[in-house]
Amino acid sequence: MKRKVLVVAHGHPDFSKGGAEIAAYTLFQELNRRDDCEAWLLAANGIAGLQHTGTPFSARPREREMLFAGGTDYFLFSANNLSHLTQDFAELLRHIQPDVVHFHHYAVVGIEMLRVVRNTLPNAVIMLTLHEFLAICNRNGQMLKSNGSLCRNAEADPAECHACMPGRSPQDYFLRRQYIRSFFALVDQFVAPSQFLKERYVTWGLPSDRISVVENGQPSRAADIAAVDVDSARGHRFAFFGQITPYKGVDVLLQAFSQLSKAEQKRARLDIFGGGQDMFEKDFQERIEQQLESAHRNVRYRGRYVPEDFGRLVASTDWVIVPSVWWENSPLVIQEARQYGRPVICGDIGGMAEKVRHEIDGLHFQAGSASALAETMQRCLHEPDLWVRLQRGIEPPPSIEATAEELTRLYARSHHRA
Amino acid sequence: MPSAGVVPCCIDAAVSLADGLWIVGWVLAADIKSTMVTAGPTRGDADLIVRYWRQDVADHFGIQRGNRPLLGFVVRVPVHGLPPKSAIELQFQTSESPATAKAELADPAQTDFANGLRAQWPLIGPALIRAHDPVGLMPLLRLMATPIGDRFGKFQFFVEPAISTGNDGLLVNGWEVDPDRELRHLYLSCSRTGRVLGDLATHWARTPRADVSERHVGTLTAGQDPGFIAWLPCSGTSDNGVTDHLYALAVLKDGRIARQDIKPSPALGPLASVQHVLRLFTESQPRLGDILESHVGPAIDAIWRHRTPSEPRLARQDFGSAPAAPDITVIVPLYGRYDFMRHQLAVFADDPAMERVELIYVIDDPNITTPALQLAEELSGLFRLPFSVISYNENLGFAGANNVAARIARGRVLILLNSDVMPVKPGWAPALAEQLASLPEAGIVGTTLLYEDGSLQHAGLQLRRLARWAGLPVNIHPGKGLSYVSTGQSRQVSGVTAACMTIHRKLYQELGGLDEGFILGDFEDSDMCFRASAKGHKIYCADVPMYHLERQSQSLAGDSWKHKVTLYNCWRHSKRLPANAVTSK
Repeated sequence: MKRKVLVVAHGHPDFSKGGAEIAAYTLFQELNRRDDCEAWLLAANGIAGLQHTGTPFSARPREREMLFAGGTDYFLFSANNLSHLTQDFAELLRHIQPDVVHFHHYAVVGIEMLRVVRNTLPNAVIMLTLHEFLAICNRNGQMLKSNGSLCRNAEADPAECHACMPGRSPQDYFLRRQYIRSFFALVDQFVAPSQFLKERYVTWGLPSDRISVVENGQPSRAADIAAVDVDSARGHRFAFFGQITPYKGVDVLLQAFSQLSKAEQKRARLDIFGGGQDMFEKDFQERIEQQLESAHRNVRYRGRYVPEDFGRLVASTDWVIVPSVWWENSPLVIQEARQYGRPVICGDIGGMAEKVRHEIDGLHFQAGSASALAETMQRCLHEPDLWVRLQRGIEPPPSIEATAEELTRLYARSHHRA
Repeated sequence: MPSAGVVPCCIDAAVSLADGLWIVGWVLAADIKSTMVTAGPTRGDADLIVRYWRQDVADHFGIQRGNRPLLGFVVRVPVHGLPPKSAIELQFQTSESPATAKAELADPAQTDFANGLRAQWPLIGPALIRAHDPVGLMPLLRLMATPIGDRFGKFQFFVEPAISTGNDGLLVNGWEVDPDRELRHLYLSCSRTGRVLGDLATHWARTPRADVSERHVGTLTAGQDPGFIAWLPCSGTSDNGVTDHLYALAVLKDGRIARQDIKPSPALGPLASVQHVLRLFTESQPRLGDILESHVGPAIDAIWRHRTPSEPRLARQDFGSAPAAPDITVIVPLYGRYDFMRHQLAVFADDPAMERVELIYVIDDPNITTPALQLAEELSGLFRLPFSVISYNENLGFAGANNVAARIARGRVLILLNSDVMPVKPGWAPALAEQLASLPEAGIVGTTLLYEDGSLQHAGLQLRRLARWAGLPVNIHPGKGLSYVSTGQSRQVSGVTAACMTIHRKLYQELGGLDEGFILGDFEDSDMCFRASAKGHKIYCADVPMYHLERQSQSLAGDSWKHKVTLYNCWRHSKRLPANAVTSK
């Protein structure tokens, strides 16, 4: 008897290529490859034109892949249309009769879905993978204060939240925490891709034993992994991959490069891959543009890329730099860099510091500090054996097969308990 | 000198007014024994006669003052309904011979007549108002009045439209500037019925009016408040049209009379009337105590008492099937923010004890009925906890909403709960009911309420006199804002808030529920506690902590009339307190 797993996501990668959407979809595919599982996918989508009248559901042209007309507010993550959940989604649950409903998000789909599962299928296992700090922090789940400093208010203390974002009252933040907790209480098992994320949620109020740390594994790309020439003495080619947002610290990186000596800048190279800056305030865009313009000619902005191109692009670099000024959870780019054997230089905080082992397979620097990053880059340029040593320390990232295996064990264990 | 047997007598003017026939003239007789008027078949004796000095007559007859004083007369004869131009004959019996005079009635609408009389008025007026209560002379005084304007020198006044306080009084406000203290009376009268409703000058409390003070900066002496507010208790004030035909008549000491026609009162519902009244004073003004006690307080009392009795059309919707024989009924009124229902149900849903509790939401705000009912239906499908929603077509206030629900409640124990109160732990409802059952002679049990930051919000009420509110007792929350330390103990207190109040349903009914005379919800909880205490019940505050997101359900910012509603409620509450309620502290 195959275990039926319904994977619920807040988006479908056909329409939205966020890390969590990809992780959910990858898991859905992998579970179906296994012979002990039958996986279904329900992915929210906000594209009104895709929706049919009289039903929140529509389909992708593949088996057991469905879309759901989601929509929530961004404070409580409460569904705009509760009857889509209490009636239509409940009907779907009765139709599929899943043994496990594995949520990869609650935004867009509606946090009340958790209770609808519990109401409709009292014996089903409810899993929820936590992708960031959205339940804790209403500032896009960044836990970065509005003055740019790092937030350690993992309890989501209403007074501190109000002081950071005065648009809502402390009472509103109290109610938000109470409301979200009331639904999280129905979850049998949480999955956190990093120990750091888990600890934050334990501080917030989840029982430690209900959160398992399981990394979102990557599909293997054996063919892509060209042999890395470890013998050549390299170490001067730096690269940034990712969204260019105020949280990702590209400005810190550009500043660090400019602090290198003339001779060092001449020897080094920095490639910036990514886009998305146009989604942010003009101020930020202009700052980045200005920095790029005044940068040394060895700094090159290479524009957007698609995940499939990562292997080809990373082949011409030595170091992948993750200069994020926020905590990060488990950045995809670190796993990708590991997959392609590139040591990572990252900030010394949160999920990124956890995923990169300082002096073993990468280097940490004081997060947010351009001069600290510059010093680290100088080491890379001047220490002859550094790159080779760290490159040798890299272990391949967890595979999706391993992740699916571990999650299946959790499904079984939780089912047993339920 | 007239010959014996014929006393010279002359009528200068005669007119028929609402209160009878008024005749002005002169007679060469010092003492008049009786006065009779004949008009065709009608006869009548004078009910009023006033004599005054007529220099013109004295000059004509060569009479020295003191010799035959007071030649002039004003008489009134209660003969009614004579048309203008009717012939009348006046007959005086004097100690000497009778005197007679004939005349034709003037038309009071003719200005000639009024002007003629007005020319004499400086002599007649002072004599008349010295000898008689002006209230009895209104028709004549009104005829002799001059519209207020600049003709009265420094004396000026203005009366704003009056507010009818139910059917038993009027609340009047305005201003009056009288640096030389000329005013004797300021009557409020109805021109349609002729009724004099009262003398504002003997009733009013003076209030600051910065705008008037500014305009009369030269004439007003410092410390004189030109504004006034006066509640005139009098019946029939909601009779058709009374407040549409009001005029004010200022009677000055020198007999001059100033008249102002008052604009018709705006048609206001009870709440708007209350709001209007509350705008007439400020919390910080002098004589606040008197204004509350003698004017604003009784006026609002009357407005609220006389509002059309509510016959709310109740609608009840049951979501899920309520428990069969609930021990406890939880009553939650909703006003404004109905989304609190979502937050409460999210917490109640996972409290197993709530399955045995009857939960009633009362929508006390017609503006939110439709969306609140829709949300209730959606939330019911989600949370699956049975509850009922009562809605109706008006806003009954906090007391009314609870009373409506209490009448249909089935629980032996009622828990009144604000929508912004959230339990800290499951099992809170039976825990409170258990305290009510087990504490000695417990009639009402409140509980520890916490702010969202965990500090104490309420652990019982205590009355304390507030100096800036004219020494009225207000309820304070001892320990408010301090860190909360759980004791697990219940304490006897003098009162508890109805934000979370547990009471035997039987006692609630015996007490007649919460008093709906408090406006918009305030003090009725304390009032109920004192009423329960008076019947020998004890009040306790339990330590079953609940969060109270206080004042989230009402927006108070910048809403000063709501502050004054509280002040009124505070005054009303103080009138109902037992003598020993406020401990000196």
